[in-house]
Amino acid sequence: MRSLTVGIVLVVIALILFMAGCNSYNSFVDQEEEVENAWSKVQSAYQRRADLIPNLVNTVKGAAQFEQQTLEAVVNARARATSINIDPANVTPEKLKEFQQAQSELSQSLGRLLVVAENYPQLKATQAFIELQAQLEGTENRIKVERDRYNDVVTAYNKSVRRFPGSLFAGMFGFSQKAQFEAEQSAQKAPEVKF
Amino acid sequence: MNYLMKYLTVTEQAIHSYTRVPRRYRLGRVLWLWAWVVLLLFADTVVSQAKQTPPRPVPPRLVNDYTRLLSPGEMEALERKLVAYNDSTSTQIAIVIENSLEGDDVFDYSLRLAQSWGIGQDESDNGVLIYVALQDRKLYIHTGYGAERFLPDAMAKRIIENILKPTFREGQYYQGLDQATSVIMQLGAGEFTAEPRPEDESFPWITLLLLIALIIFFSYLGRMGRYHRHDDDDDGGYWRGGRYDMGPRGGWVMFPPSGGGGGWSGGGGGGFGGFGGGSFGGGGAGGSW
Repeated sequence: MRSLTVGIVLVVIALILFMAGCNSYNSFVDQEEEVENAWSKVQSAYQRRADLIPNLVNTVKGAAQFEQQTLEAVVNARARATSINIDPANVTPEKLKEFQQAQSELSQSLGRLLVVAENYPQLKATQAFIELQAQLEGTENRIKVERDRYNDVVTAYNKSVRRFPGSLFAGMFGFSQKAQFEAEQSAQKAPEVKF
Repeated sequence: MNYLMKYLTVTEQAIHSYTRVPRRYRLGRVLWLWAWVVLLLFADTVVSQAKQTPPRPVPPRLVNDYTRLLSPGEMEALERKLVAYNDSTSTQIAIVIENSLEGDDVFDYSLRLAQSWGIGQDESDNGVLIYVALQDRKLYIHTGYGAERFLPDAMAKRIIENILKPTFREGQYYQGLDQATSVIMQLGAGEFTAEPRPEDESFPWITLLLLIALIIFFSYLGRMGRYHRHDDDDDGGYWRGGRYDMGPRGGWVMFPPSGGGGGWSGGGGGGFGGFGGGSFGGGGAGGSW
C-alpha cells in the first residue's frame, strides 16, 4: 500500500515537472521566434539603407567635382557592411559586434558625405537630393526603432532564460542568452540629417 | 542622473553623521532619509521621463485637436472626410494637434503616440499619423509598416515641404491639413480595401433571425399546446388562437411583442469605429515651419 502511494506521488511529481518543462520549452521557442523576427526587421532596415546608397552616390556624383574620397569611402563602407550577414538563429556577441562596427562605419562615412554636401548649394537645392536626405533620415529612424525593439525582445528572452525556475529548463534544452546591440559613441550621434 | 549621484552621496554622509545619534532615533531617521532617497529617485524618473502620450480618444476620433486650433466646423469636415476614407479603404489617417512636446523629441514622441493608439489595421498596418506640435512649430508624418508602400518617406517629405510648411506659415492650418490629407488619400487609393464592417458594428442579422426562429418555435409549441388542450373551435381555430390565450401558461411572457430589438443604438450614421492596432516602424518624415 505504501509503495503504491509513493509511486503515485512520484508519478504526479514527474507529471508536474514534465508539464512545467513543456511550458517553459514552448515559451522559450515563442520568444526565440520573436527574437528572430525582430532581428530580420533590423536587417531589413539596414538593408534599406544599403539599397539607398547607390542612388545617393549617383545623385551626388552629378554635382560637379564632388569630393571623390568621400564618395569612395561611402561605397567601400557599404560593401563591407553588406558583406556581413548574420544567421538570425545564431546571433553571437562577436558577430553582432562585427556587424555593428561595419554598419557604424557606414553611418560615419554617410555623415561625412552629408557634411561635405553642405558645400554644394546647388546640389542641396535639388529635389532629388532633398528627397534622398528624407529617405536617409527615414532609414536611420527605422534602424533605430528596430534596434530598440530587437533589444527589448532579447531582454525579455534573456530574462526568462536566466530567471530561476526557467533557467533549469533553459540549460536542459540548450537555450542560451542572446546578444544585444550596444549603444556606441558614434551611433549616438549618427549622421545628423538636418534641414 | 548626476545630481542624483550627488544627492545619494550627500544622504550617505548624512546617514553616517547620524550614527552618533542615540540608537532609538537612529533607525527612524535612517528610514526617513532613505524614503527621501527613494522619493528623489522617483522624482528623477519623472523628470527624465518622456512626455506621456494622451490616451486613445473616447469616442474614437481621427482628428484630435487638443489646442482648439481648428474650428468645430473644420474639425467635423476633416473628420468626416477621413472617416469616409477609412470606411472605404480601411486606411486610417489620424491627425493629432498638441500645444507642446514638453522638450521631448518630435519623432520619438509621435511614434509612441501612433504606436500606442494603434492607428491603422492590425493586419495591414496601414495607418498614417500627422502630428503637429503648435508651440514647437514641429510636425511629423508617421507611416505604418503597410502605409510606407504608398506613402514613402520622400513623398511624406514633399507633402511637408510643399503643402504643410507654406500653409502653416500663413496660419492656414485647416487648408494645409485638408490638402495634405487629400494627397495622402490619393496616394493610398486602391492600396487597401475595407472589409465589411466587423460584426459588432453592423446590424446583427443572425441574432435577429435566430430570435425570429425562436419566436416561431415557441409560438408553434404554444399553438400545439393550445390545440391539444382546448379543442373547441370557438375562438377561431388554432391559427389565430394560440397567441393571446397563452398568457396564463406563461409561454408568451418571455417574448412580448415589443416590435423590434431596441438594444442597438443606431450606429449607422458612419461614426469612426476605432483604431485597429496598426504598427509603426519609424517611417515618414518631419519638419518645422
